[in-house]
Amino acid sequence: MNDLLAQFLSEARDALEGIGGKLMELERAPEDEELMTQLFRVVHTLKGNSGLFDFPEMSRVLHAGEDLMDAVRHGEVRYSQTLADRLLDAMDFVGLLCDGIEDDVPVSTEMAAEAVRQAKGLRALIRTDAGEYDTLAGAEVVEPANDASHTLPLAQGLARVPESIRMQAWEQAQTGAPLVWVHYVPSEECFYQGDDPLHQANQTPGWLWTGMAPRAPWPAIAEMDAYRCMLDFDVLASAEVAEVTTHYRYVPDQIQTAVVTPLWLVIPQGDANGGPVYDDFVEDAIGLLDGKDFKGLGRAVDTMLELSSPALWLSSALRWMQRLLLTSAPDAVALRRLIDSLKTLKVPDWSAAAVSSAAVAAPAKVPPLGNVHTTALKNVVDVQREVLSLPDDAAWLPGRIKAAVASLSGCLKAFGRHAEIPALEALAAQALETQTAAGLAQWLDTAFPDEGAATSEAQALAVSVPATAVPQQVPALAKPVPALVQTAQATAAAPALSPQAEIDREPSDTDVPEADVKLGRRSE
Amino acid sequence: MKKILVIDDAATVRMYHRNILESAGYEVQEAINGIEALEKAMVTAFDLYVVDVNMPKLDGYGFLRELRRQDMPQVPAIMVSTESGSADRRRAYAAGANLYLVKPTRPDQLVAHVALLQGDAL
Repeated sequence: MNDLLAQFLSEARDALEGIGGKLMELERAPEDEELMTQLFRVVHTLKGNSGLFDFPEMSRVLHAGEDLMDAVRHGEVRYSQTLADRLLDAMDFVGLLCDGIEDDVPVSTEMAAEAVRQAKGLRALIRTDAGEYDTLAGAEVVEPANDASHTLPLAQGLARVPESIRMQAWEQAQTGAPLVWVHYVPSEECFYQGDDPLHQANQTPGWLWTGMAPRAPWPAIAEMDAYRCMLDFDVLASAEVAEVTTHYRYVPDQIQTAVVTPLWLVIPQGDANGGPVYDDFVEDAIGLLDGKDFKGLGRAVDTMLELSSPALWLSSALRWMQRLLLTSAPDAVALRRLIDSLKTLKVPDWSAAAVSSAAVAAPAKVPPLGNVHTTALKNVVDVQREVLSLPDDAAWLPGRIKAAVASLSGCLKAFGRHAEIPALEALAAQALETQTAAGLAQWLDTAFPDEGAATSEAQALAVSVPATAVPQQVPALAKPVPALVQTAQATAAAPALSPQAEIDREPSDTDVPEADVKLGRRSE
Repeated sequence: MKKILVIDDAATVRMYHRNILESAGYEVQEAINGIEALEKAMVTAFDLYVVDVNMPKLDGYGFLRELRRQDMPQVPAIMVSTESGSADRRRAYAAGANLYLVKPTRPDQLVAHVALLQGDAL
């Protein structure tokens, strides 16, 4: 066992003992707020520590315990003997998990199920006592569908993803990248728990697309509670399921995942143009396919596409045929289904077991994602942009300007751009004199034009690349530990007030502007 | 050798950060809360601070505000937290953080950010 793991176990045992002691003290003084806060802090620290490692069962139970104690210390849930007993039970269970770690025993299926039961039990207390504070939004706890036998229904939301994004995902899959679909149902109370679900969704490793939809019909405006999350999220990402579950490790019971088979992306869409009238083309195409004349089929597809309006369902299907034909070993079965679909204008059923092809085969490797320093630079620059755009406050502005300039100066030095530092310092002096950071913000856009909006690649790198330079003393983690580097481009997850049925977000340089967000109580 | 102060009430997290940063060639000292960190900052010229948010006695925000009040804005501070909310991030920047990372910080990312803020050649 390495030193860090030994330290973790030692601190965990102290914390568990401390929790037991504080619960006993609370029996004598159930109204003691300071004691409540101390108890919350211990659980919070223990949960944070568990997040350094790959202990999802422990994190799950501790996160539920933390949420419960957060509700108690804010008066939303009454402290009771039942609560204390349930928490003690849960901490005993965490102790058992510690024993298993110490003895290097893998977590059994029974223990994993017990973790779900414990977390559910703790969350039920938040529900039953607070009533309106229904942590799981009335939903049953759902196990992540990571290894579900078949998950096409979950991924049927793929039809909502714009074709251009699906094609981007397809291209990535052809290089061996895995694809995953995430259905994320945040707690209604998530804003009070320090969560930012939109940011969480958009920071999914290998993020490609986020879609949002209200989980129930919108109530009348007057009845709407702006501080509750009423949206469900769907995310398409190029990542392994393990990376995704690590990313959502504090809210494991709020997500379902499905590995996306590349063919599921092949969803022709568009104007039916009066119905299927392409018999000649279909006949020719099938002839070419049967003769394995892929080049000839490619030419026929190209020609037909040139003659057709891009908005037609036919054109969409032809574009997908082009993609299939571009693969090293074109999938004749899939092509045949796509050609046949032109007769009916119905999306082929890709779930059928008959579809077996290279396109369906599980990808073997994750593509390289870029340079860690470039991403770090982007993050630092993004943050300084946000810092400089904070409302001008005479008391804090000088310090803020100096801090941002120090950070940017470091970036310039690190990249050998020493000659630009005097100009930065001159602007800083001017900003301090005029008490406005506008000039510096402008300079930032000129000096770092490539470090603008967060890209999906940057986000992916920020959260999903396995550590490349793990120091000796850092434990080798079974799953990559993400550094959820926050960028200033991250969008706030203020509850959407728009009655729009669905707001789909495509990767773009322009992000949704940040709305005013209530401070999470935990952070106060 | 550049000096970094790691401030966190969790010994495991302090050790985690210490291991990463020492492996990258930095000298690391530790503080268990904002008060102890301020005391150490008074006697040692640190090159960077890695600051937790939730700590007893004086939390990360309080530490940063006090640090900035004492006219030490040029010393970069990275705030680390388990919270990923945008409100938390903005609060950190308003208090004087140069960067906000969500725990657990990945070793290569932490080192890359520290190097950038330090102007160390990449």
